[in-house]
Amino acid sequence: MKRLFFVLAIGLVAGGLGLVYDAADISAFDEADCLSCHGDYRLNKVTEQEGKTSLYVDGEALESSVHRSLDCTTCHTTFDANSKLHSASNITPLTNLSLAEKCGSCHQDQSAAYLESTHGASLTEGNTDVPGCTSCHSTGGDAHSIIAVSEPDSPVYKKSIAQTCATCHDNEGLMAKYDISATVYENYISSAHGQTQQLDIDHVATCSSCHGSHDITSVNGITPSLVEKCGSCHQDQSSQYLGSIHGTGLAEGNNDVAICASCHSTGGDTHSIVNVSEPDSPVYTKSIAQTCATCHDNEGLMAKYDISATVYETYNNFFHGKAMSLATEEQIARMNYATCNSCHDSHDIMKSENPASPVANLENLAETCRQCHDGAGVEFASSYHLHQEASTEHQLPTFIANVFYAYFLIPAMVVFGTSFILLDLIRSFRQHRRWRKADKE
Amino acid sequence: MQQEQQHIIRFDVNQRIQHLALIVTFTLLAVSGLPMMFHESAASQWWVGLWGGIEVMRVAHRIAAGVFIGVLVYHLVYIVWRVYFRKQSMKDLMKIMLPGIKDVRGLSGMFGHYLGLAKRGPKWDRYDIMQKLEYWAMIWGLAIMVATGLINWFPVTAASFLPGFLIPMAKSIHGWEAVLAVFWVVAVLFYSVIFSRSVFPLDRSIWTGKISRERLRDEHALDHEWLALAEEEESDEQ
Repeated sequence: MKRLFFVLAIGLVAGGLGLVYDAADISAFDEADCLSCHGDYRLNKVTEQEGKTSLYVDGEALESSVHRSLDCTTCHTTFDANSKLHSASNITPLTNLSLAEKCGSCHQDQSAAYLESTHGASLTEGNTDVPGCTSCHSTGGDAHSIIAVSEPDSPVYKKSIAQTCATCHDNEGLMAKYDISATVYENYISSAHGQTQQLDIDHVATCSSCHGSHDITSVNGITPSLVEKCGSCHQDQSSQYLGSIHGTGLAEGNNDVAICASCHSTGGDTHSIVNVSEPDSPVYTKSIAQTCATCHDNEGLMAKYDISATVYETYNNFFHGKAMSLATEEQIARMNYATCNSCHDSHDIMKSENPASPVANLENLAETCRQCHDGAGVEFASSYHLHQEASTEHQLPTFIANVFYAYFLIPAMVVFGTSFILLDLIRSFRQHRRWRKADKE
Repeated sequence: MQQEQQHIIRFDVNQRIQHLALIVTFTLLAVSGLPMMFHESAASQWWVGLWGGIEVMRVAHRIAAGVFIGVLVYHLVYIVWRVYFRKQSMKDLMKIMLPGIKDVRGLSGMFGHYLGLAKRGPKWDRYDIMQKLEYWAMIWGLAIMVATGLINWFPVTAASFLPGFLIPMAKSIHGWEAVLAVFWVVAVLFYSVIFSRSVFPLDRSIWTGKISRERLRDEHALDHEWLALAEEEESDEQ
């Protein structure tokens, strides 16, 4: 059997050489000529360094590839039809790196962007873990079966992009090697974007929508670019945000401020954005106050900006917060209880000192109250606690009432009531004993 | 013949109905109000959930409040009825209900007796000092609860003719007063009418309207003296 293969191989090589020698003119040399040898899946070469390497080219895949009209020599430029046995000496095998350059002879922009990207730069340094052109653009990574991005079979057809990136980025071992999170795919696919992308991929973000494709670079820190990315689809929200107190802070390089993902994704991970109508969302109506509180209830952080850190507590202990915490889902939806954004707005939130803020002064506040409380005026607005506990400086009447009840009336009544009970108990036991004694006598 | 009558009518049917209505509304108000005050506790969350959320509980609280106010009106009408139609003198009523110097002396006498300093307790009239306190604390608390409750029920209307600071103040007071009332009822009142050795397991006089002559003599000596005097006059007339 082995012998038979050997004979076959010799025969094929000889036949191929015959063809090569017959064709003296390279321009007359076409695909069919190459495939007459390379179309046989048994064709391979054996070298001492690499062992057995297949030299087979799938003719059918080549024929259905987007490059079907190109000649073999468009890429295999060093092929010389006149040289003997076009082996290692006169045809360089294409590596990922040389391939990137090769593709760049036509796809200049993509190739240049790729070579500067995190993947490309790493490849140049000799890292073979990173994807090359064919990793994403052909099935099985075969350079001969490049598929147009617009074809559903392409690994980077829009619907398939996330899954293709996941072949590496969902691989824990591989990602650990580069200290990259391996949860991005999992998070993305269960996020609002991931869940809806199959329904409307033209409008729903996938990996490349935010990270770019050829020019992908590693993400460092919190920058306005993160917001701009979201803004490429969510224009209104993003431009409102960029003008808000949070957005202007971000533009000044402040990393304490909330960005899109701080409120719209679980754990602040940009990959796990959750739709606001989902109970899991940090800005689902019932959860909004708690989400704002992650920063605004932090005394140290708030002190840094001279902002009150009692906003959450005071909200919680007043009508709105109480109703929110005790209502059913249906009631929350129907009653529309006020929460942070009801008065402060959401994306375009302003400092309350800003005259344009809905809570800047009693006139503005009254107008804000009227959103729900028909007929509310300035006097009504003035009753609001303004997120401060009652004290000698603020809401004095309430403070006096609190002190009166907590330190005088209730303790006094408790002492009076319990001493009455205790003394009556003692009396009745004493009397009982007396009666028993009288009975004995 | 008079001596055979061992039970004396202490509360008429109107008073018994008022008491029953108070029990029902007070309980309803307490169980639907306190969870709103202590909204963060898991027990409140569970309890409100059982009712079907705060909106259901809120409506229940307001209905109970309406009936509660109704009981107050009933009580006022009842007093007027007693004075104008039963010809009870207002002076008598005041003497029975209002705490006076005698009651203060009685209070110190009561504690003295409790402490073993006095052999006998003070002679009480129709209502002893604790009962008078109970009554007036009830009236006072009811007025406060109704006023603060209405402010919180209609805050926009309230703010249209009252200063705004009353709204958070009313909210605070409504809660404190509720806690105080519940404490007093559960601890002191329940002790007096259920757990106290002299009445255990239940003081039935407010339910049946009757009190035994013996007990009246023991606990409301003055009232018993009045009664005895009236009975004497009656028999003299006969």
